[in-house]
Amino acid sequence: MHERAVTQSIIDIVVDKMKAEKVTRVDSITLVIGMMHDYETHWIEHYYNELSAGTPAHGAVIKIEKVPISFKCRECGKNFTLDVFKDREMVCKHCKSEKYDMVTGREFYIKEMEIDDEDNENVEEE
Amino acid sequence: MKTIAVETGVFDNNDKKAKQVNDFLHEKGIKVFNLLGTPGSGKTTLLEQILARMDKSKVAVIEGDLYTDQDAKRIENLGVRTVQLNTRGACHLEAMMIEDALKELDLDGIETVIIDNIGNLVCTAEFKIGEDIRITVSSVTEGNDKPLKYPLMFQTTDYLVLNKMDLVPYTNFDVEEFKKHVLSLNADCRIFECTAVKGEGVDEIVNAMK
Repeated sequence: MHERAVTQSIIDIVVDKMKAEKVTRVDSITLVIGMMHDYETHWIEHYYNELSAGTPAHGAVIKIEKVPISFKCRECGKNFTLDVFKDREMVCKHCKSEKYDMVTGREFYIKEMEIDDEDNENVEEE
Repeated sequence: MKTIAVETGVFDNNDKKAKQVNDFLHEKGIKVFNLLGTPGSGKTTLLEQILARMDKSKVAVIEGDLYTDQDAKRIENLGVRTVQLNTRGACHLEAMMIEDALKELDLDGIETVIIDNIGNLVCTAEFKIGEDIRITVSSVTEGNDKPLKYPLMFQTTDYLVLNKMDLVPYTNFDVEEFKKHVLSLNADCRIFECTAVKGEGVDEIVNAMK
C-alpha cells in the first residue's frame, strides 16, 4: 500500500504548517493530485485517520482536486489531453504526431488547509 | 473559516534528500543508476551481467529487498562491494535509506553505484533516490499493456530494457506496440532489447551507462 508512505508525508507537512501558523485544529486539507499518480482516495482517507491519531492534524476532511494528464505537441506546439489508461491511440489530437511532452498530470502537493477561527483563537486575521 | 495556503509538494522532503545524495556522489565523481522493474522481470540477472562487463573495483551495488539478503549474496559473490537494504515490507526505497546505506559502503575508487530497487512498478516510480539515470526492466512475459497500466514508471525512466527477448515466439507479446506505447509516454526514452540470462544485448546497455 503505497498510500501509507505518502499519507505520512502529508501529515508531517500539515503538522509542521500548523505549528508555523500556530493553529490547533484543521477542518480540511486540499490535495492536488495529477492523474499520472495512482492513488486511491479511499486509502488516503483511511491512512490519514489512522496515522494522524494523536497529532493536531487528526479529524481533517481530505479534499482532492485531480489534474488531468495533458501534453504539448513537439510538432504543432498545441496542447491536448489524453487518458493514458483508456486511450489506445496515443497521438497528438491536432496533428497526429507521436512526439509530445507531458505538461500536467505529475502534480502532487498540498494546496491549502481550512481552519475554523473559533477553534483556533490564537490565529490572527490576515 | 479561514484558508491557509500550504503549496508544499508531498515528495519535497524526499526530493531534497535525493538531491543531497546525488550531489554527495557527484562530488566524488560517481554516477548513480536506479534499477527498477517488476518482480521476476530479470533485474538482478541483468545486474549480474552488467557487473560482469565492468571493472569490479570501480562499481558498488546497493541491493534493495523486502526481507532477504539472497540477491546481495549473489552480487557479493561476483566480488562487488554490496550493501543490503531491507525495507521490511515497505514497497519502495526512499532517498533517506540510500543516504544510510552509503555510510556502510567504502566508496574509495568507486565510479559507478547501481541501486537495485524493490520489484514494483507503482511506488518505486514516485521516489527519487539520488539517481542520474533510471533503468526500468520489463520482460516479454509480462504482456505489452504494462506501459499504459503503469504510466508513471515508463514516463519517468531514462532507459527501458526489454528482457527475455528469446521468449517472444512463445508469447503473444507485440514488441512494436510495446515500444510505441513507451515512446508515447516518454519520447526520449532509450529502449534496449536483451536476453539477460544469455548475456545477449547487454553490451549495448553497458556502453550506454559509460
